[in-house]
Amino acid sequence: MKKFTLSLLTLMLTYTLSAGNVFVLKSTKFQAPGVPELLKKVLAEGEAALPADTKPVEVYAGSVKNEPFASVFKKHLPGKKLEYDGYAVVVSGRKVYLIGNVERAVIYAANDFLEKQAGFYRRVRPVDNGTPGKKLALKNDAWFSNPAFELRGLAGFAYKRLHPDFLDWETINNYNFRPFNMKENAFTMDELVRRGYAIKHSGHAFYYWINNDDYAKHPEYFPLIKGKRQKFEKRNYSTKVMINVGNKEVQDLVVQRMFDYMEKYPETTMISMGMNDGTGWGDSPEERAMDDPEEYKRGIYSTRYFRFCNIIAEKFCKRYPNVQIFVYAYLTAVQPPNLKKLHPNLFVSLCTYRRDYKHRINDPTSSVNAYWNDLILRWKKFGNPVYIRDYILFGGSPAFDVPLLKILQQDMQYYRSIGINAYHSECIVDMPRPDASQEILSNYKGKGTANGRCRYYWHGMKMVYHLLGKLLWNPYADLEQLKAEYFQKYYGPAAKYVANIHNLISKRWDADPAPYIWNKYDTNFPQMLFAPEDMGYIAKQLKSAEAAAKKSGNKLFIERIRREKELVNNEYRKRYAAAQNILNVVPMKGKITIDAVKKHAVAAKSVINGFKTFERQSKTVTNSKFPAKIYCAVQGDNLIIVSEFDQKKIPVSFEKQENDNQVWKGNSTLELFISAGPAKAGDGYYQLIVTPLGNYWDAQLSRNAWNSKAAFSARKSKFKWEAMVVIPLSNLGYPADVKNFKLRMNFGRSIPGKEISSWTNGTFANESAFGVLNIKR
Amino acid sequence: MKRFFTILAALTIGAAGAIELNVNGSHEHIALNWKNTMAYPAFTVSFKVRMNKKDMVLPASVKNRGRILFQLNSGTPKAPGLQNIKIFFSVPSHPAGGYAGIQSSSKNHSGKEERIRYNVFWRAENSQVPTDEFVTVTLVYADGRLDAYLNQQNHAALHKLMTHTIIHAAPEYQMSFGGMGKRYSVPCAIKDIAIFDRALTAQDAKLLATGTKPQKIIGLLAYYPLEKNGNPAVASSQIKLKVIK
Repeated sequence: MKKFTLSLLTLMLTYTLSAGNVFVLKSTKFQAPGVPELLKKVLAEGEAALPADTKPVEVYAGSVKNEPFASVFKKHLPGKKLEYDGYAVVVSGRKVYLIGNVERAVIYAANDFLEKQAGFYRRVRPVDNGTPGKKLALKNDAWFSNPAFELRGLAGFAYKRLHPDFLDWETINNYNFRPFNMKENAFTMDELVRRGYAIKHSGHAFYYWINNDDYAKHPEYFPLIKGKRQKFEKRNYSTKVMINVGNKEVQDLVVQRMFDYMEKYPETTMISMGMNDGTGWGDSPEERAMDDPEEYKRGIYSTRYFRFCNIIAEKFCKRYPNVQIFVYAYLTAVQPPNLKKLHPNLFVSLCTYRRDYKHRINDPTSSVNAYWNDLILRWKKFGNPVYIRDYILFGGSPAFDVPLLKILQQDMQYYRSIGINAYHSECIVDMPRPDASQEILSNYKGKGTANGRCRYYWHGMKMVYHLLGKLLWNPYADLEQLKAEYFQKYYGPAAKYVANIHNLISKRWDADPAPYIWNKYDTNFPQMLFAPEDMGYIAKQLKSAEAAAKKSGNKLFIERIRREKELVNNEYRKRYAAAQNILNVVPMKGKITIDAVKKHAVAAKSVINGFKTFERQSKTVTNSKFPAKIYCAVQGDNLIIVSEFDQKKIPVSFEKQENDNQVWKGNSTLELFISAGPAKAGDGYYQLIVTPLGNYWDAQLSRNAWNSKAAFSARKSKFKWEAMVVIPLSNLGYPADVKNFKLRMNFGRSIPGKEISSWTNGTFANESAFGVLNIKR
Repeated sequence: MKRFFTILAALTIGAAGAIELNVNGSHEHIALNWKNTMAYPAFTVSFKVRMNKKDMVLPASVKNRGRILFQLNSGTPKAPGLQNIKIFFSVPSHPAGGYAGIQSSSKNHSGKEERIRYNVFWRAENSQVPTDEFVTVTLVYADGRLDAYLNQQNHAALHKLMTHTIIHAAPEYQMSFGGMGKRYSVPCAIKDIAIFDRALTAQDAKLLATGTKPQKIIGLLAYYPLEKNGNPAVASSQIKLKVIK
């Protein structure tokens, strides 16, 4: 491992750094050189659009522990106190003092000052700069602000190391908790120390303290699984196999290696003992001796794991009493252990994996969240610091403005009320900034990540992560006001239209009773959410937003609206379209025959070409390999449907059956599922089945006493067949005097023993998958 | 030949206006027979059940650990298609370690078994599902997919998406509530059994769980409140219910 020597630099210069023409950064002492670098950038962003004749302002930035800041603070804010990484701002004439309880807090102070007195708005997402204001309204004032949560963090996945732009953005948005894996220390520590972060390790760490190199000489250090000592299948955080925590040599060796680590990196304030990411615990007598026997029977290893952590902490903390030990309450150890106490230095990361985001964490009506809340309260009883590890990353899949903030705010208020003051969520990094270096570009994990997954994810989720920073600072802030300010400042004259889109999504989210849980198989949320008319409404808002941004001439707003349009067109429409199938149906004249209907529908473009199947194993919707066409028309009160099915080399199955009996037995079939119209809404939907011999079955839901009063006919050849159904729409609840209306339905097909397929997604009798016929008569 | 059941006169009606099953050494269960005309199985079974904590734990010495709360069986078990759906309790000797399994089995065209399974922490301690109070169970089966709501929570949404191959419906299904005789009986109280010939949505399930009567939901075939007696509030010629002692 590369030896890494840290030396903290103290700048004792008196110099003037000009951030530009207006904000002139004056003397200060910084131990973290990255802080004045970022401060300079923030001030430059803040003055970018100020009038050229704005008089200069002297900016002094530093820690409240040093002069002149201690005196300034005492003079202007007597009796007040900064806590955690709180900050203060004092404006006196043309001097501004940015005072932090820790160095990096001056960045928070700078953003706050610029927002309050320079019309500025801070960076909303890592790819952006802040939005500059047009006027400096300097006013004598003094204020201070302390955070509610001591530790506030996001993890930035999808990138190999630490993304420097992501670190800058999170500092600007008042995040301060940047735990990292044991293995990442070389590059990572430097980037964090220079930015004034506390050095805290987290994550899966068993594989770090005992590694596969130990296996050759000491297989007994590894768990005994199914009679064999298993070594790690890979040496990184994702390995599933644990270590033999019951082995005394392992315990001593781990502690020794921790001591060695601290020698190298004495600035470490938290070291990790996270178990590996899996369920590979062993069954040797040594390992079993660490268990609670009842837990073991249920596949729970909390007591085993935390008994081990207590032993480690007892030995380690004798030498390092001020270093915390990160431990996981996760998967097989999510339950509190059956132990009287935990060593006080254990810092518990409770992973609320797959909680329901439609409800606050302490909502008793959500059985999912009630389970998590019960766990939180039981963990709290130990008295150890507990921090919440949340998962609002949602597997990185939904590129979507998920309306989480209302629930997250309620969660933050609750966590504070029960004494939890550390929170961290999974996240991914944003797409690269326009001037990103080759090095930055090369560190994105996976081809297409940068301009695919990261890009659209932040298009959708930027407001959540941006305002979450503010809510972690103050959970009782007025959320509606925060959102209004965000829309106004970030989108300018287009704000109203973007807010309208957000409000529509929020309305749909609130009206949908289903829970929302991170489930990597659940990527269908947008298509479940939107009503058929929503895409038209969103398009209209976007058009107005584009016009407003263009009229302003402001390139920032124009670009941001372009990204909104990209999100809607590439993500919302794509996912929505998967479940929305629309066919226009217009009147035909003349005699109704199969050939006449086909001819009319082709001319009128009322043809469905090809069906879909749902592939059970891969859980995907694919195109059916058997050609299928549906031709539609209306004439008077009648809806006319003709199907044309080709079974390729499979002979058409047909058996004479009694009408309204089990006509599907032994037959290829056409299946229609039609929603009841407004005059018969209580009927649900109707189902009609036709065979190649023209036998039929019709039912209201499954009740075949109902009579569709439809006419059925069919014709066939060896491998192909066609059917025609003429249905009086008034009998389905669509009044004859209504000329234009939408009718929701699906067309299905069965080739016995071979394939079921349908127009929209391969399913039958699934009302949420019905397509839409736009009927105009 | 059609079979009809008659409702037996003696029913145990609990104080809460529900049928109490398997108390005081008895092993009752409710049987329901459904002759249906569905082309493909698309239906919902909903009922309310109260499981008491004290009854959810069995002594470790009891050999047979699995107990069945609900079971639906196809009337043609050898034919391809949906075979059964059940809710069972596993490992009840561990108050905080047991769980409920919600499972459906089907046979595809080749006769191969396909299974859907959701495990739920429904048990005496640390339960995700309330005990000592009525819980609304809503099982929705359509398109080869099983959605299982306990109150408003759809447990299918908490699990990997699983489906069966869609096959035609059986002409008859039999259901039992509260177990099947002595071996698999579950002490519980049951009421508000409702059968719909439609796959209810999440919104419908929410309505049922929050007190809406089944008559207000589209697709109701039969409804047995089981509060004062075993008579149906909404009857169907296809469905017959009886209490088996």
